[in-house]
Amino acid sequence: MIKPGLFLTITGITIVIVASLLMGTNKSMTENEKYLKEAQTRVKEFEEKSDPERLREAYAALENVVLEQEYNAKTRHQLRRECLALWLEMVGILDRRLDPKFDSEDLPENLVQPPPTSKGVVYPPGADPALIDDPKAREEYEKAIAANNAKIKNHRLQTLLSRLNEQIPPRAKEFIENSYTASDDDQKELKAAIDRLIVNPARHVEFSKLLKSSKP
Amino acid sequence: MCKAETPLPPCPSRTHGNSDPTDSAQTECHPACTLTSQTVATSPADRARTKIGVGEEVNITVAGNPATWAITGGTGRLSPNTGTHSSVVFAADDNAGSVTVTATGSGCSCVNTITFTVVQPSDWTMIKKPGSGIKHKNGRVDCGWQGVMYIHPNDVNFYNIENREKDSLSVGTGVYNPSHNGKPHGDYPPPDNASDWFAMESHSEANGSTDGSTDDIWSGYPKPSVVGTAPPFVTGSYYWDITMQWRVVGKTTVHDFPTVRQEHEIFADGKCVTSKGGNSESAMYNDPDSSF
Repeated sequence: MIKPGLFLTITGITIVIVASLLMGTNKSMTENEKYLKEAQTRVKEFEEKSDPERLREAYAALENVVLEQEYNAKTRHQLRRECLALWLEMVGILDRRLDPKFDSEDLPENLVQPPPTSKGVVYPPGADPALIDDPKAREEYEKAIAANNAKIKNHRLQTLLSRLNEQIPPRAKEFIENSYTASDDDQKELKAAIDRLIVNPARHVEFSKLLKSSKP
Repeated sequence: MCKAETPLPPCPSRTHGNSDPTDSAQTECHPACTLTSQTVATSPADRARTKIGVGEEVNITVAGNPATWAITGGTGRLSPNTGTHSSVVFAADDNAGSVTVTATGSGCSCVNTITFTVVQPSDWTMIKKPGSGIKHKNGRVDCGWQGVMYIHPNDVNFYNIENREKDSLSVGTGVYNPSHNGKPHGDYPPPDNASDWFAMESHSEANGSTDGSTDDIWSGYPKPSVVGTAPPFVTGSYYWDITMQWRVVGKTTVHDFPTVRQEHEIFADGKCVTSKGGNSESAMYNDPDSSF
């Protein structure tokens, strides 16, 4: 026969333990969801504004997700699926936005050389087009400036994307290797995601090598 | 030139701990939780250095149990910054100073720290682009050369900054006034009146960090009827005090480098001198035609 005092103590301790567990679960879920949502937002921002820093922030947020903190199996699997989709989406974005013809050594000029004026004055590179009195020469100079500015912007974008290409795919693979077992269900889910999100043939082959046959 | 230098660093590598199923089982205490670090940049050659540039990334690894990581002094970024891991990537922000990273081993109270000294770019200089020539037209007092800008100090790698030029107006005297006086150097558009941002391309311990872009530093020339066609030429000079700016990629705070003068001068004997960032090149009016 349990004494009433002891019964109350045990009940109290049980309530505290259960409440702590529930609070812990909710907290981790909230944090993981927060990181996932932040990563999704950053990816969307990159798609809208093409600022590579948003992609870096996206993967930094995504690698903060800790699957082990999700105690509910269904929630954990859902989270894993969403993380996988976002990692592969980022890889797919890189494949779409990286220019295979980009030559990192074809560097832009700082400034463009203007043509001479009709009076024989020649200004150094970067001069105001308004100083060029011949309309046709001025127009060509303005076009050359616009082309060089576009080259500067593209060179920066491709340089920063190339760096991200050295960072994101290895992390995506690491996530897959750490989060997906050789079980049929895991491999089926993984293959479906790779097939759906990795369009670039070479990259598809690369990621398909991560697929495992189920253990005997 | 860039081929001979060290290209962009490889990606930061990291031993992921948070998804490793063995992590949670590693409850045994390993008291020797020593930390080692390796810069992501492969140049300078000493990758164990703890003096790093703003924006630089460093892989930090703990021996023994995976650890929880925190920046306990100074500022910067750890990635990942949650969970327990055997290694993380520390990235300096744009503040100079000491930054301490603390790792606390899981399964025991083993704590260790590593401290980095973060430095900002101090200044920049120019070198003549290797293999390039002097631009000059025979009979005219003009000269120019192609420069490449290098950012210092050289013992850290500034691959994670970008730079641009803030516009400035020329000051011309003598034969260059008024034709080359009061002219913007880049005629950059408002509101910033600055060039686009240039990403860093490479680093060498001899020269520093560079965006690799080519700067055509050429005098131009005034009207031949004003400067003359034979000695003694009408003398004059003009210059810009150029302000370059830098920021860490992804940061909004823009920092000014110390001002550097770009100057062009004509002498009575027909000599032209063009200088920028510590390098000068010259030509005589009767030198043969040549180009960059």
